[in-house]
Amino acid sequence: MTADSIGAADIDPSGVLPVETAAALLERLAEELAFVTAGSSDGLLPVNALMMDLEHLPGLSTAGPLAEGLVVARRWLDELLDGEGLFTPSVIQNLHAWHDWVFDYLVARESGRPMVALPVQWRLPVSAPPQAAVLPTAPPTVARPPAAPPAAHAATSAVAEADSPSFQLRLPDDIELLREFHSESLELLRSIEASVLALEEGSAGPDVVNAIFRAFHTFKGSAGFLQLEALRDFAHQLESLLDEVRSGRLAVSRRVIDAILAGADVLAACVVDVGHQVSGAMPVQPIRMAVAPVLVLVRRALVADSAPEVESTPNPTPTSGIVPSDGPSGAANAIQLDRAETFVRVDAGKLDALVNLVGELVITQAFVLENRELKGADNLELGYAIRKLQRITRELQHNALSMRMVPISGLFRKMSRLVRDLGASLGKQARLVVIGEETELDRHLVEQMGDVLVHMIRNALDHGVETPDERVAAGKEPMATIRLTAAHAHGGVLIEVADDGRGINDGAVYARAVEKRLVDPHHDLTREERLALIFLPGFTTASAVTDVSGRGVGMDVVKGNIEALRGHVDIATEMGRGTTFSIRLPLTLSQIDGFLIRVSGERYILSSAAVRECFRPGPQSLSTVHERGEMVDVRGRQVPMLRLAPLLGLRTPAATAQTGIIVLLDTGAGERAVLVDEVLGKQEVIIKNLGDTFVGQTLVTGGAILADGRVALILDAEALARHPVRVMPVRGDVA
Amino acid sequence: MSGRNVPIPGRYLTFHLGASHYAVPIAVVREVVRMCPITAVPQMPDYVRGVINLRGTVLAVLDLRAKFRMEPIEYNDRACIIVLEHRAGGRLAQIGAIVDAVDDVIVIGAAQLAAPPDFAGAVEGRFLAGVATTADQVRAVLAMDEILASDVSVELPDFQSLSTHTGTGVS
Repeated sequence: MTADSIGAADIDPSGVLPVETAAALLERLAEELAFVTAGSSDGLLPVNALMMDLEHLPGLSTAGPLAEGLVVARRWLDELLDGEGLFTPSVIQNLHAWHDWVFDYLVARESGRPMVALPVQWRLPVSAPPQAAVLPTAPPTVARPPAAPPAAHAATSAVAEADSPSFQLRLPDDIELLREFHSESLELLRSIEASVLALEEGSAGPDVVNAIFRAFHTFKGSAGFLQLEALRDFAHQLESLLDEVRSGRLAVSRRVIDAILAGADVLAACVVDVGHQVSGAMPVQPIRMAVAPVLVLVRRALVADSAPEVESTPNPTPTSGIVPSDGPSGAANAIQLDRAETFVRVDAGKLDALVNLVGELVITQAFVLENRELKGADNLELGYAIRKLQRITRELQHNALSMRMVPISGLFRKMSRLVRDLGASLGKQARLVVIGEETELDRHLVEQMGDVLVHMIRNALDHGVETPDERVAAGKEPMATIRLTAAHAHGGVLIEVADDGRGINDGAVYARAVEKRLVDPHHDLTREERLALIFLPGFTTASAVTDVSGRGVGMDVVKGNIEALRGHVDIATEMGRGTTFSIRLPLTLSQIDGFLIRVSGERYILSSAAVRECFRPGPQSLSTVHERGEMVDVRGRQVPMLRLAPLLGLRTPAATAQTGIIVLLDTGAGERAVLVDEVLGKQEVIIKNLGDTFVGQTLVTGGAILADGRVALILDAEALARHPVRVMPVRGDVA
Repeated sequence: MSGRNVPIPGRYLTFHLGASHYAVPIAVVREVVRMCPITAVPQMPDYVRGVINLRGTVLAVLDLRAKFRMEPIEYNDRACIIVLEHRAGGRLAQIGAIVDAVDDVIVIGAAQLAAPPDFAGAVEGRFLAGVATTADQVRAVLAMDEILASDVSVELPDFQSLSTHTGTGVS
């Protein structure tokens, strides 16, 4: 939208404020704001974080409308954070108006036009009294206390009130949030510790003070969000101390550093306890905080300002990097901090490398065990060791793979925001029902599925869901339901996007495709084939290009993305009742559970996800249908038969229909009875890329190294299922 | 085009297909492996023999005889796969090339190297980087990047009949 005007105006070199950064932050803020709803906490933390980024933009002057505006917005947010942590309609409205105002202000500032003044009504702290009522002990403002004394007083008065306050976790309700809070806070506290140590060395500038301040502020925000009042209030005391330093009213001294480190240690101890209670290692009970000694230090640090000691460049001597805190408690906590860490951030590349190596190990083990000498060995001890090795390898592989698995919940949660936002902008009412969000799948798949789901839900809202009036007229409730389901099925994952909208009219789809010349009008199509036309490139049913579908991505891209993940998508629809898109995905992209088959002496792998059954065809089950090729009778249904040998260019005679085995493929693209010589077994293989030499070919998705060291090709089941079937192969003619 | 430049003197891997002798700069050779079972890949031109397992990675293998439109032979135990590194689409890639037999690694001096003769503008000329004439043999120095970038089989010009002219063509 207006980002371009900002970017263009930014050429003006006189502006000190990094306007581009500000514009980017504002844009993200707008995105977040678009999703917030009254009475919900969703988006509060991102909004808060973005606001803090804006507050800490370099070059931001401390006076002027922008600074004033930020104070105003900070006040609104802090009211929320200090309160129940839920958005209120008035704050949402205010934030939207505020965002627009800031944008206008920046544009005016950059283009030299008269700047828009801050709206008068914002200057007054509208809801100050209720806030005071909610939190009698907390100081009224957080980010920019008007002067030093109030903060100092707040800190000292709190000492008198609570020597060891406590807080109680809301378990199990908040377990997910608390788990996140735990790992996030450990990281924050560690960064605080590192920054404080840099500060002590004297090598740090104001950036570091700001960073520490922000870290405490974030911590406070999260604690407040989770209603851990005692934790929040204590973090607030420390933050206030930092604010004094940040504003230049208090110099960095040994006492300040001691106070901050001691405070961080107390917080760390609490966070460790939170972790224990979340993981169940500790019963759920109020967590006490030994804040009294720290508050004494804080008070001393604040007082130190009036009676300055020797601290202009504090203490150059201790450079050993060890926390210079009094007594062993600090160090002990630091150690505890490490031990309590239940989550470790690992470079995704390393994880992938590990998984690949384990895959190699499994193959090599199979290779070793195939060794004739080893197989022939008659040694009990060796047999025992081999079985043990196999078990360990299996477990190792299982564990390595599970490390890459993440629940799909994060992805689903984003979608619920999308539904709310989009529904409103399209004038439709819809809610999202999510089922099975705990289903785990490969991280890569989750990442790749984001766009796909966004497009499918957009599509459902845009084309599937009717307006409330239409729904009422059709005898439905005005609020539509979009159901997002994930479940493990057939060794893979099944994701369904279902709406209860108007359904897809296959006749209309067909007419549209004919009109667009995507399909030959003389060609008879089944209902399924007609529906599948929506996946053709260039097909779009929206007669008017809406704001939503105007993003230029059609269902063909959705299908392409899903197939690139070795998945496929099916449509089930009923006029007036709704449409369900079913996406089947493998659990992981690097491995495949496959059937090893033999054709004319060559071995191939077929993904077992695509194989419905294998059977030996009886003499009566084969028939030749005029112009449609050979068919196999599968319990009364006629399924086209595909002879693999000629298709794969194999000259050695293959099995006849009488001696061979039928592998029944069932994919989104169709069904085929594939005639093979033999089914050698089922096994897991690592998928190897064949490389650029083979980009042109369509029947093979990759290679796998078998136990004997030879490469077997992994056949593309979709491509086989799509392959035309003929009695006599006719070159170059695909009907 | 680089085809008119004289190849750089240095170490070359030499091999032969029937009676024709060839050389490639050692810099593009990753390794030489013994002939091993090759898995055929469908829908590929006949000179693409398939893929092999090279210590856990899948490597595409070409039949140089087929690539140069020579008569196929039954490979014996002297047949090798030369693993070559080449540029494909701006990236380094590896590919295997089957040859009748690898001969040697020899040092070819500047005096022994000549730019490829001008084959009256024949397209195939660009597949030759030059001609190397040593005491015992005339060898075509292959322009592997050009050869591998071509997705059809190629006919190499008859460089041997021209060897007497190129032998003195040192620039």
